Amino acid sequence: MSNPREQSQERATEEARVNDLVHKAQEGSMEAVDELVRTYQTPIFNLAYRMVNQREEACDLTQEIFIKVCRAIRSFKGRSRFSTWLQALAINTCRSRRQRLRRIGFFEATSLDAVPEGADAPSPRHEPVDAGDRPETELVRHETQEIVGRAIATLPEDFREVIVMRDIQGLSYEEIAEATGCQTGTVKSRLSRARAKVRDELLREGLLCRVNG
Amino acid sequence: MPCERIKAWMSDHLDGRLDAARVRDLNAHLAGCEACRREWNDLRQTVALIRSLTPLAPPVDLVDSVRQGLAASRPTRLAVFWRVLNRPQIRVALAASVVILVGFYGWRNLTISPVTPEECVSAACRQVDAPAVDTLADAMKVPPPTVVGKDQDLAPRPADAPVTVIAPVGGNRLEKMPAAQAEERHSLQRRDGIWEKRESSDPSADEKRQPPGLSIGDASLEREEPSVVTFAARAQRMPEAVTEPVAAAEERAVAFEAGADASDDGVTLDAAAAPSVAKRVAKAPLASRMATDVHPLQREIVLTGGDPAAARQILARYVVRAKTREMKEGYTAAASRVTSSDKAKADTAGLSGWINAADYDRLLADLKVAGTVTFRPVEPSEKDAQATPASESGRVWVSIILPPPET
Repeated sequence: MSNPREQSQERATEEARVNDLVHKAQEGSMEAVDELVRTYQTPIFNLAYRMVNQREEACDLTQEIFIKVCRAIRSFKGRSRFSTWLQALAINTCRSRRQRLRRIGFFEATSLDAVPEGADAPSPRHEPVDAGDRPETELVRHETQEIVGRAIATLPEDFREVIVMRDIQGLSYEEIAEATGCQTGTVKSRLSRARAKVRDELLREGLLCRVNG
Repeated sequence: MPCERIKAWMSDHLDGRLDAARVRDLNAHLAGCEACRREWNDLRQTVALIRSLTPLAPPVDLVDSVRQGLAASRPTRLAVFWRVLNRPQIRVALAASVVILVGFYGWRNLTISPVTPEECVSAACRQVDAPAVDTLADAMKVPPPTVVGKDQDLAPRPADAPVTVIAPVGGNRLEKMPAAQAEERHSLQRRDGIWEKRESSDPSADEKRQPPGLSIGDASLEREEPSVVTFAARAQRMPEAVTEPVAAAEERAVAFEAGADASDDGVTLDAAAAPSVAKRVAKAPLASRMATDVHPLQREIVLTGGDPAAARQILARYVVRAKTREMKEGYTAAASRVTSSDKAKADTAGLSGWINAADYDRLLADLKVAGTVTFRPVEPSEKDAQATPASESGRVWVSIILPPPET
């Protein structure tokens, strides 16, 4: 377990590495681009998945986001952190994709905003499985995550953006505000209401009672 | 502390964004409020559950698929071109270029005034017996306008008299020079009603004689020799109306403006006035240049070989106002000889009247069908000199003079 000072140092080192990669990518290095994709593929894929709730769509969306990043990376001036710039680009791409999907009736046809239990759950082979867990415990954990994921999926789009970026991606209020183009106060308010909605959903599912019990 | 305020602080407190004083208030409230405490526990568990979500693993081939996607969606050269063209800086630069070009073209048009064939005719044929001209140089040798008084004879000038002319020398400039030099510079000849470059056995020598860029039929040369090119273009449309190239007409217009002395040795211009006059004449619009034609308001057209009745009918179509009904309709007798009293006879014969200046060209064209048209200068009186010119009044007084039939 590292202390806060070590964590800060690790973060600074990671930041320097990313900046170096960005610089090389801006000069045309495809290896640097590949490395940036590897570095950010998990948070961006998770963001995309939470925004469209469909794995194939999320894969396609993630690819589109990184292609846009490659094209636009020369316009990154370093005024903000690269991760914040990337999240902003990803959020905008997600919004465009959702708009397009909504136009063709994608969400109505598949009811993906309210994912039915067990439907389109991420493939188990993609999830890291703790080999030491017992099968029953793993089953409960999987079921719990499914319910929480469904509760998030029921949120309105702008609520979902902030809760994913704060509680799943771990961004600060300021970074979320920059990525979404909102005021920090708006982020706070949306986050509070989003959490309250998820809490209500989990209470309805009986998950909190079970945890309490 | 009301419960609603405490609930509003809970989310911030979970993220460590609540200041110490509020944290104390919140804890104190939770210690005494069972409902808020339950809500706080639920919210804390909810956030803990969300944060415990296992990150989904991205597709294993994402890096390759991004590379493939980049290669497949590589923009074409045309797309790159349009993207570059669509940049704001490029768009602004293009728009500025268009504005500059249009402005320059407009400015050129303003500074180059068109010349009508009739204007050439008017300038060249003020004398009834004006000799026919076949080349521009010949036209330049035609004596400058003689201001004809009531008792002045229209005797032709001696053929061997030295001639000084004002000729275009490129751009919009006119220069005073000997006729021989002008002829050398403007080696043009008329063929089938069109002024064209004189044939030369030595093309290089011919090129040297030509003013820079002067070649009839090439629109791009209009900037170099606008008047000549304009003349030639009009001559192609109305060859029958052309009797003199524009250079000679301009010479006369300039000479008149400058108060030229029409002596036998050519046009004498006040040296100080010449450049400004030349500039003014070159820039003057058509109507204004018509006004320089000796008399501001009156034109006397000599119709040779025409039928008086036909001439009257033609004029009657254009006359908008006559002094008397008789003047418009009556015709008593043909003039016995060409004298200064012809105008009065034309008046009483119904061959005079006010017409719209805009109709002047059409009237001339109609009269040319009826007979041979030449012009007589009308000497303005002091009162006439102060009259509103036709270009401003929009009307011109036209008298058709009928010379006695040849016996």
